[in-house]
Amino acid sequence: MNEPLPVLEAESLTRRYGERLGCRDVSLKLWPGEVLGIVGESGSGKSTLLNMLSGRMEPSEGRVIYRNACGTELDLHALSEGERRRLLRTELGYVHQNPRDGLRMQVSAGANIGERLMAAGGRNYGKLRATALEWLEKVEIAAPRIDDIPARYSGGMQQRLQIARNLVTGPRLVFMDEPTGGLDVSVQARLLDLLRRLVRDMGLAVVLVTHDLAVARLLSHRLMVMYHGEVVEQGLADQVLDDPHHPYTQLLVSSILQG
Amino acid sequence: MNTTNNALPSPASDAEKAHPAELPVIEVSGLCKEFILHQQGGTRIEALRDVSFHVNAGECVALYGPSGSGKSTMLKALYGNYLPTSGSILVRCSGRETDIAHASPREVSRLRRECISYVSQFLRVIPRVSTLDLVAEPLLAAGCKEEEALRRARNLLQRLNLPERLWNLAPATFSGGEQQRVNIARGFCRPTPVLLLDEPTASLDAMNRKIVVELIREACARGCAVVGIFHDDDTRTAVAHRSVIMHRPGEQGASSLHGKG
Repeated sequence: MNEPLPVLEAESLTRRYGERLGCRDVSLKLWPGEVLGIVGESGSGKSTLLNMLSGRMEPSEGRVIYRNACGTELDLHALSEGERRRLLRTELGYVHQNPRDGLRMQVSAGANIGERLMAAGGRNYGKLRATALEWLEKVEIAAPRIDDIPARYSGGMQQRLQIARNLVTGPRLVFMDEPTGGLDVSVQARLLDLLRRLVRDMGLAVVLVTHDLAVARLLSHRLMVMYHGEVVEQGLADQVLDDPHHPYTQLLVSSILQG
Repeated sequence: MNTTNNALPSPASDAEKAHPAELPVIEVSGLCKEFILHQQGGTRIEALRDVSFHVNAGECVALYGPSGSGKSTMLKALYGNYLPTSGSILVRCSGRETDIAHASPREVSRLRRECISYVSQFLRVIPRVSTLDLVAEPLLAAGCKEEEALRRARNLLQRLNLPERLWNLAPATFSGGEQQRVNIARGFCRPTPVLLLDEPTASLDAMNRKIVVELIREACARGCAVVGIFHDDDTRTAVAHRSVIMHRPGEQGASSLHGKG
């Protein structure tokens, strides 16, 4: 049986901020269709790790290998700026916590989606618009809103639009930084349901950073727990949460409020 | 406590005839589990000590013992939800042998997808996800076509007498018994070689308990290896070929195997 190769591999990633260590010696592998949750409190190094994994921040040591659809290994930090940006606009996605960081707020929703399609080579206006409409429907935004600018959308709609913009090019690997942070609970539930379905139907590989353990459990297959810049525990998501071994993970899990 | 010896009817012989020379599907050897509670001064809780047993294809084995004897811990270890401290859990399925106690998360994921169904004690409700989708989900995750998955989900929900008007609702507001039937449908939806049951009949009425008994017997008949914790003796005697008697660690030494087989 042919085991698929990992879509992402990180080797000994370390990032120093002067004397301080942001992230120390993290290695990981991520396979197609797999969601890896990275949890930990703020300052634990999870955002630093995500930034290095997605090629947005240079590691002090270590490297990140992305394996594209043809099986070619690309060292994300050895690529030229142009090549890296092209990848981030096509085969990779990045969903920011704040949709304002991932959307162009002054162009229409349709153009936000179309722009990424054009970066991937789409040219036909009719087709771009049809695909944009299709994606608005998938993320539950009413078709007539296609010509509105995202600034007129609610926070939850903006986040769904950002997700549509990222997924429209059929990426293989998506990075998500607290995608449900800052949203009302009811809006969050809708977004989680949507993400679960899209990830499953598209077979996406996802690196998900969150401080919310319920979100991590719901979306992730595997979990890494970060503390003071290091991975202190990792494993199957439900195993780490139901049978945590490290003192810090036990503290995190025991601190969850029972609804 | 140990009065269950041979108290059970023995459809086991059929299973043994059907699969004469095969190795057990599940083989637990010398399993130990200790929890260390770092937030509570490093308190150690020994949950399992040297537990060994096996389950053949087509056989239903009940974990039996007083509360605190580690039945649930054992079941969770079989699913890879708890990590044993030592010992091994071999699972033989789709031509491979995997030790869940030492397998990588990815291997455990694969086993769950291909081989193991699990009916937990309580349904984990997901906001906004309908009953039908919740039941069909394990099938979809295993690559089943949506139409077929939904068809099977409907069949099971019907069999378990869950009113059709509830199928498209999220089960958050359902009664305990209704939620449990959703959970059972979810666990039985996929015909896997291994089935783990954590008190599947605890909040069911007699009629629905009977249906669950039928479902378990059907699973055995198609060669499934079943391990269960059963709330009531009637259900246990109706489905289990053997019982593994569990003890609180230290109270009676190692757990042992009783009954036929």
